[in-house]
Formats: sequence, structure tokens, C-alpha cells
Amino acid sequence: MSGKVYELAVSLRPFETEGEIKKLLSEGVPPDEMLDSLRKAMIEACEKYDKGEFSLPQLSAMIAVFHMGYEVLKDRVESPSKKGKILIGTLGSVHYIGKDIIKFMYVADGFDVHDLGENLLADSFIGGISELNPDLIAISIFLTNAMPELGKVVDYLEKNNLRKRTKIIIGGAQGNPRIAAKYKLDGWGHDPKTALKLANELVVAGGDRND
Amino acid sequence: MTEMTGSERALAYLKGERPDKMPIWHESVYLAWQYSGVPDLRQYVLDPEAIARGHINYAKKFNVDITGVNIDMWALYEVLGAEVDVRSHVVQPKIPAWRYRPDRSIYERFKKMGKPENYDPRNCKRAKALFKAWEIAAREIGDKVLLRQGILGPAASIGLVVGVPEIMRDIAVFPDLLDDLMETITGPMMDWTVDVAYKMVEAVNFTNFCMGFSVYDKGLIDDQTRNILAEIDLEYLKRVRDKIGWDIPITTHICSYAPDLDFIYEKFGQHINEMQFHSPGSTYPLQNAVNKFGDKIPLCAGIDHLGTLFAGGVNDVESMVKNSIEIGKKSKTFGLGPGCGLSYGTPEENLMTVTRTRDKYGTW
Repeated sequence: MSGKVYELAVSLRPFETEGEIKKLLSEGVPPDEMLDSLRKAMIEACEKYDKGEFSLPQLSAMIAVFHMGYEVLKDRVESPSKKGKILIGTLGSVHYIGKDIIKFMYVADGFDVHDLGENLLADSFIGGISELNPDLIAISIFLTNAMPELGKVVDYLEKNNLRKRTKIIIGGAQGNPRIAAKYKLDGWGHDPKTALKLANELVVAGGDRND
Repeated sequence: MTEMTGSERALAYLKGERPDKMPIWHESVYLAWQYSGVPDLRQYVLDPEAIARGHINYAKKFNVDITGVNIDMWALYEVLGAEVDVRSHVVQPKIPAWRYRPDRSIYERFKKMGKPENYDPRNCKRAKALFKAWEIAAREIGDKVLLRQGILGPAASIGLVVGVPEIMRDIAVFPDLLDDLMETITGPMMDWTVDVAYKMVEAVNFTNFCMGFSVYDKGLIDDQTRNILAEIDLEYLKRVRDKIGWDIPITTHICSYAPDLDFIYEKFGQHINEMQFHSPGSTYPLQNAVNKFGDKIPLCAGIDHLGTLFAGGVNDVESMVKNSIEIGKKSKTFGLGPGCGLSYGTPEENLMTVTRTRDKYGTW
């Protein structure tokens, strides 16, 4: 039944996908089945991006598809926190496309994701950590002014003895192994696939950090 | 050779000549603000004297040959409906209602624009202050420093109003939007951007026009979109050229992680006077650019504003600049510059080191 949701989603048709989901819900199709279709479409879009078959406009369109579909489904599907809790945001700049792609990949994969937004300072992450006690912090960094703030987030975790429990990874234009090593992070993801793999390894499989 | 002023040095470089030293370009909205004496950004962005003062102090302090006077990317577009939050420390676009839900109706306003004079950016306070700041800076230091100013082409300009990722997404989502948009972009938006470009060139005393090509990034857009954009930008460049004449150089800004210099040169090479790009730091090595274009067009690169200039020490900066000079020397001419505007917090000593190293090694 929800095969059509998948077909419309991979065809990057957000309004038709949303309409089909509403229609199927009224017909009693289980919402989890439709969420699976959206997940499959999202993961496929990221794979196409990896292979060069999609570029950012198509990924952005897939974000709209997923978001609009998920908005209809989110209160009807099972609690998404089975895999673990992730705090995500962009430090120090307004860039959001990369962060949003990763965010929706995590949502699609069954994580409970809390998006702090963009142009953040360390204080926003620190507030989020205190409030939500996440398993993983995923930080997008695009400009160099994010670096000192990244250091403050790590310091906070260490000073509060949270560093072992809370994994921390980075992505974005400034994310690289050198920065990850400098701040003793648990990893960096240069594309959606790596970011997803990292989250699963660190949170679900309980992997150790890279230092 | 008699020591040139920064402006003379920059203009010689843009003619493809070798000046007394390699010119240096860099600029920073947030560092310049720091040197303005106005601590609150909300006051600063409305004060032309302060904006000019901050940038003049910046240019003098770091002895740059080429710089820009700016406050943020959206000031010119407020007249078209761009909305920003000006906070005490940062200017950022407001999150639009259409960020996650495409909305075709947002493009209607551009269709109905009519003549450019109805949409003079100076009708809005921040753009008015910025134009005045350009005039002040041009008057006070224009004979010593080349002020590098420009406005994006008509397609990217709509992108800055509604959001660049959003417009690219909407073209993918609404199959017939592209034809509709093309009419607007090649019609009223083209007229508007050419008109604003001319006003900017006039404000900096007809010294140069800077054209942005950052969208030509290998990872950002597909081939079809790239070719469509290139046709629009080429038409835009030609129309700007027709208005400003061939005596005024066209500088460039290619702030991109995977810059497609080959495509940019092939499409626009005969209309521009330099290619400025990010290297080291991007996927296009300076050595490759020198090998390919060094005898064809002036190149401006060599400073990694991210890893090295911001996060590195004086020795790292010196080593980077020396290395870039050695590579750049093999071109017919060369300018030193970063990939983009510099971040708040870039160590002053590192910026001083760029100039010191250039003064010591940056000659032919």
C-alpha cells in the first residue's frame, strides 16, 4: 500500500507524497509502514548524492518531502527514541542544508533528534545537553569562528564528567580529522552516509572514540 | 621600481602586468566592525561613517591593496523583501516559512517588479548607509586601496531573497517553475541587478566591479542547472560591461570548496580580469590553476583563511604565503588572497605576517 509513498517520495514530489500519506492514513494503513517508505527514499537520495546522481537541490527537495510527510506521521508512529537521543545544530554560522540532511537521515533511521538550529554559540549546546542528556552531539561547523565554541562544548562535557557517556561528532566544511583529533572528538562525517554510520556505531553499538 | 600605491598595484595586476609587489586582497565584515569604535552591531550597520571608518582602519592596519566595504549579504536585497535579524553581534536571515515547505507564490513578487528605479536599494536604511560608506571610503582611501564591490547576478540575487537552497529545491520540485523564473530573471531581475551594479561602481568611483561565481562549485549544482545559470550570468556580465565600459576591470569572487575554475574560465574568461579562488583549502590546487591559467588571466589565491590564517600560528602563515608566492610567481601576474571574507577572531599577528611575508618575498 505504501509503495506509492515511496515512489512519490523518490520522485521528489512533496505535495503528492503528503496527500498520499493522508489518504492512506484515512484508509487505515499503519503509519510506521509509511515512515519506512520515507526512510527508504531518504537513504536512497543520500546514496544517489554519494554517487553523483543527485546534487544539493535534489537533496533539499528530499528534505522537503521527508519533512512534510513526517509532520503528518510523527504523532502517529511509535516513539522514535529506540535508537538513542541526538542533539544537532550548526555552530557559528547560518548554514543549514548539511545539518538538515543529517538531521533527517537520523530521524529516518529511528533516532530521537533534537535540532537546536543554526548560528549557535556553545551555550546553546550546553543548555541542550543539560536539558536532554543526549547520547550523541552532532555539530555542523562551516566557519572557523565555530572552533573556539566547539572547544567550550567539549570542555563542558569533560568538566561535568559527561564525556564518556556523550559522544560528539562534527561535520560541515570545517569538519576534518585534524579538528576531530585536536578536540578529541569521536569522529567526523564528511557525507550523510558516514554521519549515519558513525551515529549507529557510537550510539547503538557503543563504539569508542577515535583518540 | 618606484613603490606603487595599493590601488596602482591592484590595477596593474588586473591588467595582467607584474606590479612592484604581488597585491594582497582581504576583507572582513566583523574585524572591520571591531575597528569602527561602535560596539553594537545594530548601530554600526546603520552608520555610514562608522562602516567606512572601520574598513579604512582595517585597510590601513593590515596594509592591504584590495579590500571590500560590507556589512552583510542581504542589505541590498531588503528592498526586494529579504528579511534579516540584526542582533548585537551578528546579522542573519530570518528563517522563512517556506524553508521546509515549498511555496510557489513567493516568486510572484519578482514578476511584478517593473522598473528598477522603483526598487532602489537605498530606499532601505542599511543599504543607504552602505552606499554612503562606499562613497566615503572611495573618497578617503580610493587612491591608495582598490575597493572591490559587486552584486550577484539576477538568479543568485533572487536566491538571496528567498534562500539559495530553497530556490534550487523549488526548481526540482516544481517542474514548470524554471520557465516562469527565467522570464523574471532575464526580465525585471536582470534590469534591476544591472542597475544596482552600475550604482555600486559609481559609488566606488568607477574603479572595478566584482562578480561572484561561488555557485559554480562542483558539488553544488548539476550540469543542467549550471549551464542555465551560466547563460544568465554571461548575459548579466555583458550588460554590466556595456554599462561600465571595457576600461573598468571586473574582479571576481569564487568562494567555493570545489571551485569549477575550468568551467568559469571557459564561459566567462574573456569578460573578467581575474580569477580569485580558495587555495589552499579547496579542492583546486594553486599549482594546477597556475599551470592551466597562469599565462591567461591574473589569479588571486594562496591564503587559506580557515585552517591556517585563523587556526595556525605565525610560522604556519609565513610558510603558506612563501609557498604560494613561489607557485604564483610562475604566472604572468599573481595576487595573494583568501577564499572568502575573514572570520572574527582571526589573529592580527597572522594578518600582519601575510603582509610582512609578501613584502619580503612577493616580488618577481
